[in-house]
Amino acid sequence: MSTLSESILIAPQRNPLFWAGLVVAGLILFIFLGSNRNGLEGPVDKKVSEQEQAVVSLPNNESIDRNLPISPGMGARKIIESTRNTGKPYPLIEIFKHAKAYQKNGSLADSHLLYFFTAREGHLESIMQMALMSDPTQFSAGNSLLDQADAVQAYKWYQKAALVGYQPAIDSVQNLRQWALDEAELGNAYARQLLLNLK
Amino acid sequence: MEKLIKSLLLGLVILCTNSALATETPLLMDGKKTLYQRVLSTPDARLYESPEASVLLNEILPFSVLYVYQKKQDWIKVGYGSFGDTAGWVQRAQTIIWNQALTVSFKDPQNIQRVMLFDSKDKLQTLVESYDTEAYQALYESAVKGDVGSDFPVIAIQPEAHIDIRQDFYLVPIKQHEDVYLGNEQARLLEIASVPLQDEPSHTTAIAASQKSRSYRSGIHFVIDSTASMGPYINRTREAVAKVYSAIEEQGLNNQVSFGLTAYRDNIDQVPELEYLVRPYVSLKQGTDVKQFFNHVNELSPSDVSSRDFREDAYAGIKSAIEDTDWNEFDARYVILITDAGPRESHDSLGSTRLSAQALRQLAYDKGVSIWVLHLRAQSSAANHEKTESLYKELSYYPGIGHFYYGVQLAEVNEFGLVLEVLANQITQQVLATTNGVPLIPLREETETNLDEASSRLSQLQIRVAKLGNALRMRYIQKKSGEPLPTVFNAWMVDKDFENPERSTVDVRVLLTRDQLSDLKSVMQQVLELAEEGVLSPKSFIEDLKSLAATVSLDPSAVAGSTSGSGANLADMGYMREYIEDLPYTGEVMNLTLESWEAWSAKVQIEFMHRLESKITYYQALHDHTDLWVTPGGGPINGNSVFPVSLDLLP
Repeated sequence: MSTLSESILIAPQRNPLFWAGLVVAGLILFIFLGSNRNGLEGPVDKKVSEQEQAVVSLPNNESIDRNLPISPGMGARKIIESTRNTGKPYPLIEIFKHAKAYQKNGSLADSHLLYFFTAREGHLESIMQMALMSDPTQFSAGNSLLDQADAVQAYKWYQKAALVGYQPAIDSVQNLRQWALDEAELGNAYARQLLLNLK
Repeated sequence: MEKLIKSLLLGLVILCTNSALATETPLLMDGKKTLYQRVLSTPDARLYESPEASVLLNEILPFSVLYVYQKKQDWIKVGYGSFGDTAGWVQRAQTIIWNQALTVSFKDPQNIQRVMLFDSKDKLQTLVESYDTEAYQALYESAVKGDVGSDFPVIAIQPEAHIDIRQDFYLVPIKQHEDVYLGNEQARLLEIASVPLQDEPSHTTAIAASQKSRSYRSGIHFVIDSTASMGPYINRTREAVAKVYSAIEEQGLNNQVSFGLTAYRDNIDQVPELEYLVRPYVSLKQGTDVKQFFNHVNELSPSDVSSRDFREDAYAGIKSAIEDTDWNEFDARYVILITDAGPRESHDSLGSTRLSAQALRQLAYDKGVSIWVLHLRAQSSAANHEKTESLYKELSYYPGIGHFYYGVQLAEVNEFGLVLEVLANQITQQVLATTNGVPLIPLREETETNLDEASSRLSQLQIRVAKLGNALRMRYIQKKSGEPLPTVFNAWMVDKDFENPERSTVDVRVLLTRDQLSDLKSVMQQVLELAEEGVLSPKSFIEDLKSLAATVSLDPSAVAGSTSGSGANLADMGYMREYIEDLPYTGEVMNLTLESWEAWSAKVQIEFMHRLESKITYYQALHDHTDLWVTPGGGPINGNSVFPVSLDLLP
């Protein structure tokens, strides 16, 4: 029974010598080609530079102040902190706009955090955005912080929107179900896990 | 008066408390606060009322999971659950200690080599360490052919057909494990216990068996749909039974296998020309004699008219076969339904029994009868096949083994006949095996087997027939003349494919109870909620995680001391659960340190959360799918019901 995500979650473990070889090869490549898609640590490429320069904007302002270099996600966290300090009701539409602006500027960690925050608070457009960023039938690495689609996440968010009767989400749940059926036939473990949730 | 009532109430409370306290609990494992000692029963295990072995209570389904309540010299008192419901005493030698509850599930061997089981760890280890693929391949080819000598290091091999553990629960207990490297990949050597499955016996073995007959008897009662479309299959059934009778005579088992036959049609109020709803043709008693069987069965002919729709009253035929047959003389009891139509369920006004598939199955189960279904799938009723198959699978489901349903395309008379012969012969071989005192059930040789869909399905059905309780039998290949086969054997295997060590040949699983899974899900859900907050507002995350640890830990006092270091991981902080504590796995959630969480970027934190959420979603789905759970000893699904969860899916 190779069931569900059983083959997904754990990478095979190899002999340490094998890994040591890989590290040496990686270092050589790094020195000559040095690149980091997400700019999480270390030297940065152009895109990451933009991310790191993204900073907190003032409320009600869609422009991003690029003067202070901070790490990805910090800007969003400051907005969330400031929003929480101000108290409810939160300006979800404004925060959603900030998220869009971050996304447009390539600050994917900040946009993801803000979408996540507003989606958790029930903002429908943010919920759909969270779903789309994970949907295996819609996935685009350029718009998502994630390196790959995540059907379980997509289903969770679509389902949230579908439960309030939002028709595009209801359609997307059906679409995702069909994707899971087709992919499960081909042995896709993510699809199998999704099907178990859907049953 | 008031005083008297108070006294009575107090007395009642004391009585209830005492009786509650008097309930037995299983023995705890050494050093554990919540984990009970467990064993598995071997195929020869029997339950007794007391350790003196004077009153035999019952047989035990092989490889049943049992909790240990008491120990007395060579005996242990056991129960199927941990709630104090003891079942009886069993000899220690008839059990396998199984505290870690680790088991193996085999992957489909269609695209991967079957797993070989070695008689000693040393021989396997030498092969693994040298990573000698040529030597391994040579052993594999010999093992598959069964071409082995007495010093051959492989004693058994994984069955050829695949059994999906989600549909057909089985256990291959792991007794020991050891980490090794196979080439560049990390792998595990596993010592497992299994039950042997041997090749078809030689003619001399059969004669020897017949000479020491122990009067073990099998009764096979056919229930045949005798409506108009069934003509060719009625004839082919006669032919198949004639062949099996010949085989029975050859093996000297004349009185030990008996056939009966009941025909059924449909509601005669609706279509009077059908003549009858149910008509018994041969009883099992009459069917012991081949002449009597055919004298009666030759009268059977299909109806001249068609019934009303694609359903017929199969349940009426089965109910009659179960209730009107004297099963007492038979140790193994089978009803084989042969039909090309769906059944009339409990809500169908034209049905006579008003029984559901589940209710009818229970009726059979209460009498120790297993129902098998050979469904002839007509093209004209294709739209109903899925529903019909689902009902017949439910009807033929046997606890601990799985369903006995086999679908054949209607035009394939030969395939139908072959399946019938194979299954009837297999039952005969079981009689022979039991008579001989040796558990041997033949599977077709691989060389004969074309791996087309039909033969693969037949192999799967045969393995289910050959399965023994919860034990998945391994094809036993080591032949030592004069020595009987063991009822259980221990062997060593490696969990990775020798040819391609990146691929696993098995999943290592831990048998969790539903209560344990529920606890795991609850704790991980709380961790996830904190992590979600921690991703958005990291300031209080660490402190919140420490506070939560104190509430979810089984030993809060120990937690207080262990969480001070920033290098502490979630397991140290008190999130570890006893039931997964000592297992051979490294889970990223339990190993998460506060230091590493703080050092991670938002992206890495989010990815971690998604993986955690994926596991929690799996736990929830698994918990809710009650059809996947097995209750030791039978009965409804409860907190003691079990499912083998892959180690890879632990947090």
